[in-house]
Amino acid sequence: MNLKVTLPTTQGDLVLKNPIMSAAGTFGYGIEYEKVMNLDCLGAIVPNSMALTDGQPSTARRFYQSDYGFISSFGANNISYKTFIHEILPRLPYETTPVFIDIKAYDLEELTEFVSILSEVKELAGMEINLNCPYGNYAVPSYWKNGAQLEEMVRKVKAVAGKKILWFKAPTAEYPVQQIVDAVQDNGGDAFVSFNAIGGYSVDIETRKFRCGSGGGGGYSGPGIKPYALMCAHNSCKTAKIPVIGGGGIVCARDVLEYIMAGAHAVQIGSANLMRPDFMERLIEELQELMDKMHIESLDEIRGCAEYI
Amino acid sequence: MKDFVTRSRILRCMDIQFFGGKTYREFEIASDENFEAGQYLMIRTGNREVNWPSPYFIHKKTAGGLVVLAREDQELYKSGLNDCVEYWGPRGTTPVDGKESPILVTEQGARFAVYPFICGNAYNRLIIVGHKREDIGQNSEMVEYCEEIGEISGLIGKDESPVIGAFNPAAAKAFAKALSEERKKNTYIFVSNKKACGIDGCKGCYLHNDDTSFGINVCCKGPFMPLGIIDFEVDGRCFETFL
Repeated sequence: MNLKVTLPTTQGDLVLKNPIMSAAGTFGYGIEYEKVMNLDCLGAIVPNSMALTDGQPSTARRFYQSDYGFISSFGANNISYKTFIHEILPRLPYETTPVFIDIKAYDLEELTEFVSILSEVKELAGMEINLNCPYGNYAVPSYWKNGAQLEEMVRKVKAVAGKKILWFKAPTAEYPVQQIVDAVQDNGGDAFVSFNAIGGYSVDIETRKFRCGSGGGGGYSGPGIKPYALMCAHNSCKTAKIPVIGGGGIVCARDVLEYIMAGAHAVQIGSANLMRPDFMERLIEELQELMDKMHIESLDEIRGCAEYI
Repeated sequence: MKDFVTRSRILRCMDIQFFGGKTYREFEIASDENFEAGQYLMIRTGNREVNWPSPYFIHKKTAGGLVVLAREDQELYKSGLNDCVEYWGPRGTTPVDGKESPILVTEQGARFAVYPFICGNAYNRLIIVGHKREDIGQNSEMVEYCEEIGEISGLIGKDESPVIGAFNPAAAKAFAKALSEERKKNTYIFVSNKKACGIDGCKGCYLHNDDTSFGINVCCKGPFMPLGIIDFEVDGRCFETFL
């Protein structure tokens, strides 16, 4: 039985040991987990988002864990890429487990500058461009909201990415799947990450206050949104010629197989990392056991096999 | 690699009611770990389909395990004898060095946070802000009361013992205002913001700090943090209220 996954990219095949990787924002910078689990067991490592400069924690409450998911509102709680490259990346198993950096940038100029800098970092496999960009620049709508702007962004980022693999991650919103996937793949994107989060709010009726986020809420993710996130993954797969990385609400190996059968090449694990820190390592073991039990020899065998009834 | 998360069970649970009429429940969790006052266990119960862990202060070590305290609003509170739990820890850093016993200052709603120091007799005075109430299970002669938080400074006087405080957000801010800059240097306060992972992974508990890029981690370096580093104007909204 084989857990390996091959993602065809413009830079050649990216072979992952298995389809499990962290989702930015729920796995620290990786090294926090080195005493918790074997980082080298992962398919890929995607640490928390990074920017050109150090950020500061949001001053609002950043989390609310509800019954079926959690709302997060981190703001610019990122370290700078320099800190990561010099102090953290050398401690990650980048030679055997590809590391991708999720990027936040204020505007297109900063984004291309950032990608250009990272394209020179040999330890990195690639970058994940968060389609929520631009961050903290309220004068400019997110690029994904305007087809022409999105295409321009993908094209310009690709032009400076050198030999790095570029993933583009869905925005924290309900989004027009076909339009966005087309813009990404037609302009040089190597893969599409089909889910990020959706907006969510919660009110504490005792204190009569919203429970987190400076504007009342934040991004909602977790098992409660899995059906929606699975739809995003499947609809992306229907449109995409590039690999789709699914995710959203995965809490067990059966969930992983759902995403693969819906067409995804690999999956990102987010909220479940907050249920127990060693979740992903256990998930990989559970996936092996489940595939063995179901007599599935490889993920290629079942990818996209789900039929409409 | 040893499993980071330990699967365990509840050996004993018991209601305790000495916090201003509020009901708490203590749980003995099977464990062979040691702890220091101010540390906590991240515990995940099996009570829900989707289980999030929460931090629970440890206040006692027994022959069979560690004893933690759960508030009524916490998931562990609903658990019962022999229920399975998962834990990791002890996490956090004790604010006491074992040389000097601290003065504990608190109010009824947040008193659970100084309970580990009380249980360990690791204090020399306990000052409670608010009206005097009947205390069950504790020598009332040991407790001093003050009506207003502004009186704390006077009560502490020239006592140079370290101070450990635990308050709701408004009182915490007033407490900080009542102390001199000099006194703040030897004072720690319970930072009650959300700790989702307990291992510095989620970055949800960080405090803003102009001198430290990216801020200050609370779940590992705290949750009792030096009072002088806390900017209540900036981070005050992060703190939880205990009714």
